[in-house]
Amino acid sequence: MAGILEWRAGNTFGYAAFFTYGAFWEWYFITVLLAHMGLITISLAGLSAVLAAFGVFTFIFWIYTFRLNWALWFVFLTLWLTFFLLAAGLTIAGGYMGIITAFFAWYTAFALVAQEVFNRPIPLLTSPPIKVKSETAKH
Amino acid sequence: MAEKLANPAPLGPSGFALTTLVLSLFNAHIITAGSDVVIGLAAFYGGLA
Repeated sequence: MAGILEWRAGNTFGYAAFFTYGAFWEWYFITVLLAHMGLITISLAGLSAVLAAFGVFTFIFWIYTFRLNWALWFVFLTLWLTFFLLAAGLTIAGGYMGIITAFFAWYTAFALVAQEVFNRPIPLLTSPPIKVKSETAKH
Repeated sequence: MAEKLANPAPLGPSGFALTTLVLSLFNAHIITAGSDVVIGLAAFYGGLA
């Protein structure tokens, strides 16, 4: 839903990212549900393939966050690490990395709300990891 | 006058973070049994939100 709203807001990055991770959770939900019902069988290799694919997507979107803000940069960095750890079968390490990811994602969400409610800049949200010297690019 | 819309950005990371946190607690073996509770979160907060 936030994906659709971001589309409305004209935020391409948010639209693509939110929709993808929304779909990830729906995938998780339907896969676990159908597996419990005995309607589908899950293989470890299949799970790893899906997790690795989400890892690739997240890694590429992590590159975009270099131009967004530090908060999202940390979220996407820890998230692609989480996906690859889980894909590699390192479930416990992936779990801990996932907890760190959740921490940063929550921080990002709270910071966005705080920014609007308190109407002031929030740390990690207002500065991008890479600043482009906007005018020097033009010759 | 332009219609005032809420910023949709915080909702995505909120649902994602909460669901990720709970699933990760199981993955990290901090909680060892009953990971089925995650499917409700996955369907309606992590996924739908």
